[in-house]
Amino acid sequence: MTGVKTKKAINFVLYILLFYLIIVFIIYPITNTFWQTIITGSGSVSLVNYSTFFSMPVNTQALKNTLSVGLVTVLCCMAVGVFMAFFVHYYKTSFDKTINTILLSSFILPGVIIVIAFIQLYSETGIISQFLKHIFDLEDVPFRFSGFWGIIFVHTLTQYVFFYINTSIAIKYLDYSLIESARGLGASGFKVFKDIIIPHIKPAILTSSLMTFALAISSFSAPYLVGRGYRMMSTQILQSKMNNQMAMASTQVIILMIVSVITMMIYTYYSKKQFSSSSAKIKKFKRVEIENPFIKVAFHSLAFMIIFLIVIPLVGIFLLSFADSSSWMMEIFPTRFSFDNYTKVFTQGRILAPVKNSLVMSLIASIVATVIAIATSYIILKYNNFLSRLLNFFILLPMAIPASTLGIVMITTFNEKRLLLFNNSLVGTFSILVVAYVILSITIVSRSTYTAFSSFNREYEFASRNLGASKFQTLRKIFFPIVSIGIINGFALCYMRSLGEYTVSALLYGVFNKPVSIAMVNALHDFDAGISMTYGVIIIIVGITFLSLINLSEKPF
Amino acid sequence: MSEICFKYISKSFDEITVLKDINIEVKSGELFTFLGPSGCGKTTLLRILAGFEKPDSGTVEINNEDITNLIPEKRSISMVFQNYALFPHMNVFENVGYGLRIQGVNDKKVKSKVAYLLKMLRLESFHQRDINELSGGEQQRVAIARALAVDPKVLLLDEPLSNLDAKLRDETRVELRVLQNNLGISTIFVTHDQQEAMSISDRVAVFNEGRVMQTGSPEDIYNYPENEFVATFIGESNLIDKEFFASFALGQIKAEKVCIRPQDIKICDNGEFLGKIVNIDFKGSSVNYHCNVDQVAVKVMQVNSGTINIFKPGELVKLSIDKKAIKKLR
Repeated sequence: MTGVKTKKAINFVLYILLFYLIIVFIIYPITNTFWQTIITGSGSVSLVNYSTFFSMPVNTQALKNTLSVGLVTVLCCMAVGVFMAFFVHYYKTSFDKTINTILLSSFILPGVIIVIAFIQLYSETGIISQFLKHIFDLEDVPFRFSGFWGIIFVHTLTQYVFFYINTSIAIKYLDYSLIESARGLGASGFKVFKDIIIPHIKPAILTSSLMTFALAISSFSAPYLVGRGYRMMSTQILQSKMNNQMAMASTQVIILMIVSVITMMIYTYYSKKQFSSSSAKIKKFKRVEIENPFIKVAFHSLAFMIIFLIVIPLVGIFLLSFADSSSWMMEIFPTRFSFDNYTKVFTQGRILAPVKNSLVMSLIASIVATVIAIATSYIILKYNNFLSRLLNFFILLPMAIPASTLGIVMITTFNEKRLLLFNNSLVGTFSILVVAYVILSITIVSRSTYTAFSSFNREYEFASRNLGASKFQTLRKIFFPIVSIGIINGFALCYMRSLGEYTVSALLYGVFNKPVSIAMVNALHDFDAGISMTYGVIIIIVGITFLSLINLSEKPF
Repeated sequence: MSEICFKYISKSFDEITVLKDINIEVKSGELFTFLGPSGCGKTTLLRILAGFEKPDSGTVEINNEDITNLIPEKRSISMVFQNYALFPHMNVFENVGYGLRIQGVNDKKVKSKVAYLLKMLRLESFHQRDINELSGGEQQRVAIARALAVDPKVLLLDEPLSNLDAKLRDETRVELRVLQNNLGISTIFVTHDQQEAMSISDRVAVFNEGRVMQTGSPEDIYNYPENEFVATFIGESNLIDKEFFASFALGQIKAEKVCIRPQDIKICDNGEFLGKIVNIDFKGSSVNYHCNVDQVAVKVMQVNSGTINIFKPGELVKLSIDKKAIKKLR
C-alpha cells in the first residue's frame, strides 16, 4: 500500500469514528428525545405533548419565567460587566490589575460552589443577613434571598464575565485616533462616548447579551437552590423527571433547546461582526483620566462594592470550611474553627469518594474531549468538503444544548440497551457522567484546539522538512509543541468545567459515580455546611493548582 | 557545488496556470535570481525545487539527478523563508542546531557548528535569546545560519530582505553576496525588487504570468531587454512605437518598437527634436524631466553635477538620442 493510500485509509477511519461518536452521543439522543415527544403510546405521530405543555399554566409560566430571568440577567450583567470593563480598561483607576484578576476568576470557578457560598451568606440563616438583622436590631432579615430576585442576584454576580471580557477586548481595540479626531472637531466627552465609543462596543454587547441569555435560560443550580419554588424550564424538567413524566420532560427539553438553538444561531451570526476598524493602522488606546473628583469617588465606590460582593463568597467558602457546623447553628458567626472538616474528608473513605470520583471522571472526560477535538480540528482544517463542514456544524451543536436538556436526553436514550452502543445501556453506569461531561465541553475544547491549529504557520512545517525532519519528527518536535498551549487550554477548561459540574450530574449520577458537586449540595441539605465548604475549597485548590501548572509550562511566543 | 536544471516545468492551481514550460539552468556556485511581479510564479518554482509542490509536468534535476519525486527532507536543499519561519518555541541555539539534531549529530559537534555559524553571522552573544527578542535583521541572520548548518547542496532565499528597512536591506544584501561568494554554494534568490536583483545576482530570470521572459546577467537584462515587459520592469524606459519614430528623428530604424532609457536622451543645444517640459522630478543626484514630444510622453534624466541648468515646466528644450543605446524590441 502506498503512502497516499495509507493516508486516505487513516482519514477514512477517522471520519467514520468521529461521525459514529457524534451520531451516537449527540444526533441520535436528540432525535430520539424529539421522537418520544411526538409519538403516542399507540405508535401514531401526534403533537399532543406540545399542546399539553402549552395548556398547562405551570409550564407556560415556567417558560415565561425562564425568558424573564434570561432578559433581566442580561440587563443586570450588562450593567455590571460593562461598567467594570470601563472602570478597569477605559479609565485610569487604582488596583486595576488586581480587580481584573478577581473579575476573571469567576470564569473558572464552578457555579454551584458560588451559589452555595451565596446561600451561606445571604439566605435567611446566612451570615450577612443575620449580621444586618442583628446590627440594625430588626425583627426579621432585611431581604429574602430567594425567588426571582435571588436568582437574578446570583446570575448577575456570576454571569457578568462575558460582558466584562468582550467589552474589555473592544476597548483595547478602540482606535484612539478616532477619539482624537472627534475631540479635534469639537466633540464633547459625552458626544465622543455616544458617537464613537458606544457604536464601537455595540457588537461586543450584542454577542455578550446572547451568550449570557443562553447561559441564564439554561441555568439550573441557582433556580434549584435559590429559586424556592420559582419555576424555570430547567427545574421543571427535573420535576417532570422526578414525577416520572418522561414524555413531558422530553417536551420541555425540546422547547428549551429550540430557544437555546435560536439564541446561539443569532450569536453565531453577530459574533462574526465584532471589532472592525475603519483605519488601516489602529492607534493604541490610551486610558482616560476621570477629572471630576465626585465622579471619581462614585465610580471607585461602586466598583469596590461590586468587587466586595464578588469576593465575599470566596472568602466565605474558605472561612466556613474551617468552621464547626454545630457551633455556627447557634450563633451569627461561627465561633469555633478547626481542621476537623478536612480531617473528615481525607480520612473517611465515604466522604472522600465523591472527590475521587470527580477527579477521575473529569480527567477521563478531558482526555477524551481533547482527543476528539484534535481529530476534528485536523479534519476540518485539512479538508474543505461537505463532510468536514458537517463535522464543524455538529461539533458546535452541543453549545446549544443546556445541561438539564442533555441530562434528560441521555436518560431517555440510554436507559435501555442500544444497538449503536453494541447492545449496552449507559444509565446507571460510571461512564454516563463521563460521556455527558465530554458532550458539555466538546465545543469549547474543539474551538480552543481549532484556533491553535489554524494559527499554526505552515512555513514552520516546511522549514522543518527542509532541514531534514520527517513528517513524524515535524509533528512531534514542531507542530505539537507550538499548538500545545491551545490543546492544554481546552483540556484545562474541560477539566475545570467537569470538576464542579452540577446540573447534568444531578440528573445522571448514581451510587458508583456520585460527584463532588452533588456531595456538596447533599452535605448542605444535611446541615453539614462545613463539609460542603471543604469540598468547595478542594475543588478551587485543585482547579487553581491545575491552571497554575499549565501556566508555568507555557512558554510565551 | 551543484548544478540545478528545471526542464519543461508546468504547474496549475484550480485550472489557473501558474507556471508554463519553464526551462532554467543554474550553474554550480552561482547566485541566480527569480525576478518578477507578485503572482508571476517565481515562489511556486522555488517551492517545486524545495519539494513542497509537485509540478504537473516536467522535471527538476540537481547534478543530473532527477529529484522531482524526492521528498523535501531528502533533497539537501535549505530555504530561508520570507518571514524566516524561526521556530517560536526554540531559542537561537536550538533553531540553528535543529537540522543537525535531526541528522543525529552529537552534542559536541552541534555546539561547535552552531557557534561557528553564529560567529560568522555576528550573532555570538545570541545563543540563548528567544526568537521574539530579536530584531528583523537578527532573525534574518538566524534563519540563514539555520539554513547553512546542514551543509545544503543548494540554498534558497525567498524574498529574505523584504521585511527589513531600506538601510538594513542594502547592508544585508552586500553581506549576503559576500557570504555566498565565500561559501560558493549554489543559491537561488527570489525577489520582486529589480534593483535588488541587479545588484546581488550572477544571473537573473525575469518572470511574468508563469513564463520566463528573459534570462541573462543583470547587465544583459538591463542593456538588452528582449521584450516590452523586461524593458519596462527592469529600470525606467521610454517605449516608442514605429509610427512616432519620425518625431524622435529615428526614421531610419527598422523595428516595430524601441526602448530608450531616460539617461540616453540628452538635453543639448544641437538636439535633433524639440520637447516641452511638463514636470520636473528633482532627485538630488539627478533631475528627471517629464517631457512631451509631439504628444508622446517621454522621460529624460540629467545627471546633476551641481552646475547644470535646471529647466522649468513649460520650457521648450532640444533633445538628442544616443543611437547606440536604442534597444529594438520584439
